[in-house]
Amino acid sequence: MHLLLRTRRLEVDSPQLAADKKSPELDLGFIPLIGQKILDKNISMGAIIEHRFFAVTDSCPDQIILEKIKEQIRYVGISSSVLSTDFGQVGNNCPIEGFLYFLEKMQTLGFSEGELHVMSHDNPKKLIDRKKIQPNKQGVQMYKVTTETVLSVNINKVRCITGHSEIAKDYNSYLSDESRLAHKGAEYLFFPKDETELSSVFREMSKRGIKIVLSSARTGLVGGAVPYGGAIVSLEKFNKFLDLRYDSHLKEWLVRTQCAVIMRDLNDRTMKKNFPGLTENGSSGTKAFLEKYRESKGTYFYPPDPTEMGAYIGGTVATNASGARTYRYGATRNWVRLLRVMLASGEVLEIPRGKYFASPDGEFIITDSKGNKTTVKIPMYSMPLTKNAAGIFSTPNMDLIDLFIGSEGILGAITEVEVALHEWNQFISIIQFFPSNEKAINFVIALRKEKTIRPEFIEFYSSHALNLLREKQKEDPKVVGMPPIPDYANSAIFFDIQFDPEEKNSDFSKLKKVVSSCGSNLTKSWAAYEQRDMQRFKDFRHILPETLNSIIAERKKKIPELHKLGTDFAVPNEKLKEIWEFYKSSLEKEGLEWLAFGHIGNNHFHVNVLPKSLDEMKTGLSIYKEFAKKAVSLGGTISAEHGIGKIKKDFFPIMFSQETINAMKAVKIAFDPGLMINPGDMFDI
Amino acid sequence: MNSDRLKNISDNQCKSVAKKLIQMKILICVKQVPEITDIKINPETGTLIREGVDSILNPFCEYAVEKALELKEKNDNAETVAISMGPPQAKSVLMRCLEMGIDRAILLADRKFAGADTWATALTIARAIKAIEGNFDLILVGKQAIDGDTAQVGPELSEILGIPQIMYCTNLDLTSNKKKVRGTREIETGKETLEAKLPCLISVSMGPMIRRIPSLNEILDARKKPFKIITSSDIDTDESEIGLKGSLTQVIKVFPPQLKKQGIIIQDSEPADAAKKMIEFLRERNFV
Repeated sequence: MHLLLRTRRLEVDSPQLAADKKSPELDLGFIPLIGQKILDKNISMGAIIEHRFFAVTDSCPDQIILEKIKEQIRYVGISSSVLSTDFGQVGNNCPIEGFLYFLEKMQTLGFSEGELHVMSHDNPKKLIDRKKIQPNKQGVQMYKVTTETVLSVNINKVRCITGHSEIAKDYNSYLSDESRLAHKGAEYLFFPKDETELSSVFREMSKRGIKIVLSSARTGLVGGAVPYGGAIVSLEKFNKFLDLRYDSHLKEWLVRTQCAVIMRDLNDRTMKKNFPGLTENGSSGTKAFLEKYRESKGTYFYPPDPTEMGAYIGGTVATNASGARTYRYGATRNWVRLLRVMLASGEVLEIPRGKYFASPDGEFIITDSKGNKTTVKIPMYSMPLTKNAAGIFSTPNMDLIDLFIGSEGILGAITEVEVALHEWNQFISIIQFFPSNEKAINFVIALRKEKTIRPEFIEFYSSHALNLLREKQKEDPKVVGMPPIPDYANSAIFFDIQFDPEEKNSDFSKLKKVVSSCGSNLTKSWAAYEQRDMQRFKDFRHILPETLNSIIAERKKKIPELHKLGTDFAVPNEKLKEIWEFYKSSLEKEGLEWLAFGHIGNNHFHVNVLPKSLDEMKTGLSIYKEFAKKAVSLGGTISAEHGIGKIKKDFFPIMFSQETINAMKAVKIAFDPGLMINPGDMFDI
Repeated sequence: MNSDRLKNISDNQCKSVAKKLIQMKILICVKQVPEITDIKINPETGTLIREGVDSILNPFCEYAVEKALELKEKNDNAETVAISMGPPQAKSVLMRCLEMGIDRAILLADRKFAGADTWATALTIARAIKAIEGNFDLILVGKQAIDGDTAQVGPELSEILGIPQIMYCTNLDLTSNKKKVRGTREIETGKETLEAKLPCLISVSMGPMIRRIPSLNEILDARKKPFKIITSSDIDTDESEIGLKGSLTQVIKVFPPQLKKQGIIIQDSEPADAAKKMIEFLRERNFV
């Protein structure tokens, strides 16, 4: 149940009273007014607290009010907060300007763009959506969905490799993914070429009681696509672009593709405005939009960037992939507008965003073509405030589409997606070097507060990470593709900001100030704005995990049980320093070889341990559990982007209660009662 | 006004004038080209498809810039000037030169220059150098542009200016008295080093494996360096000599070169190892 509770602040409501007190310590708090116990109880019952910035600014300094609001929000939590102002009176700013002013101020007080979005968009939407969920014109409630039947074909027509030895011989790469997790064999490898063939495979396997694992580009890091017996269903033939259109209501360009379109191709096509398949085979409507798209002045791109651009779009949706650009644009979820999902029954759900919402009791009712009804009850738990890829998504009155995004394929196979594009601006990529890890972290904190600098992403290279790249440069400078890393560099921050190469007097004075306040200067940097050089910067970032993987692969030859230990934890903004110190002191105490890199903008850098022996591996694993617990205790997540798959199941109970896990399992069972798809992923049933 | 301060200023001014007089001047001629990985030719018209293709500084020209910067460091901060002829967009490649460390840039941009072949290009640049720069010590050019591959503008430029040329250098340096330049070039049988009196033109065929990356400071500073745009009216020339009218050659057809597969040279010193590798190679291709 949602309860709208407005915090009234007597002093601010009565400017005269505030003026009389004039004390900077003036208590504008809500707690004395409504009572802490009542508040706590309401929050625990799911109340949403409105934090209102009053348009009374003369008598009471903004800063005190704002800091008080910050305190309030941090107390009740982002997920329980809504921001508002009462601007608009004669002599005051108009409501929009007043609200923007409020948001900007909150950003300088350390709230991230994502947090502000939750409080200004998502939470208000939740409140409003409740009222929207009314029976529509046909009297059908929007939590009721019907699946489509798909024509079946003879299973023998589907290309299939039979027998484990045959698969191991010529199709070895289908047996593992980037996690390098050991497989348990597979008896069939199917290559369905469309939904009819896929449906036949699902029906046949279901009939014969054979489990299947869905296989996309196998770029996942948690073994989601690694077979544990049964059949592998490769979706690689679903690689067509289907449609391009402009949604005048949402005011955005949308691209619809099959699930196996490669991320790199998607961005290449959208940015170069070149869609060969659509030019030839698109409908006349698509062709008209294509023409309009080419003529439009802007350049567009698909913002989610999982670093590994060889991934398939379907895989990125199934895992709610995030990456560096999540800092600015959020994870994949924010960009998905439609999905087609094939369920275990072989029937298809088409889910446009904004059409199907959970009932007030948190249920969806799925009806199949024969009229059989299944009730899906969404798990009720509160999601972490950070970016997150652990578990099945849940919010009250959630959109059905969100249940599938990030579900790791355990509920069905995503066959088609429609995603939104965003306008591409000219950027400059900067790798700024710092004298120590701590200075680099200070820079990140300072940069986030500087509201006029809006980085696309903020990435971290720890001192050990730079050393690893230095080693690599010594071996073969060409592989790294960058000039020698300067000797003075003991850490680096990689970020992108808007830049106009034509502008003679770009103002970078703010950045200059922030950089020099953190012990460095702009000459101690690398910068690039040409596409080809920006690509080099990206490669310089991507080469880190690749190098780690190859080091581990080498060590594995001697000790096969060894594997990489990489964290995927994220914490809220204000906990960045704390978690860094925790990681660092724990790892140094044990004397392990380690390094850190990645999405520090979201307080989500990856700490990697490179064990040299089984003992070190054991130590590493136990430290990892400690890390996970610490991250969760700080309000973070055990998996910000890699997902759970087969590798991180052990961490699952650290984050979720048994009750929540059971609720997630119930969702799986509702959609896939035979537990056919992706067995062993996310949890064991 | 304080007379001491006045004296200081004039001293400094004298020094800077004197420095300019003895300072070496190196000109670097550069070209804007489409990024090679993207080159596609429209099969119907036979012309390059430029839509969505990035323009970059020709890699060989970038090598010439690198050599100029090397010389600049070694020779009392020689003055370096980058020159290009092209449409206004070609400004971006001159900007890249300035970011790398070149001191100033000149762009020859005029509709009347359009359609120039290698001869008309070389002639226009030669006239511009005479009119705008006057004296110079060295001209550096890239061995060829990666779009047309003609390798003609450099040699033609030296002929028109009447100065010696050393082509396809992999390395170059000044003699100790700085009156001559030595260029080392790769030829089929090995290497040869040629020496020429300054002023002289040198084309560069090799540079660092890894392209330089400027700092953010260098990128911002580059935008404040002197940048001159020159039109046909600034140089002493007749319209019949420049652009399409002044061109002696004409492109009839453009087509991509047929890609030849690169061979493999087996370099093992042991004949037995070499033979093994060769057999393996042939086996892989089912020849044996």
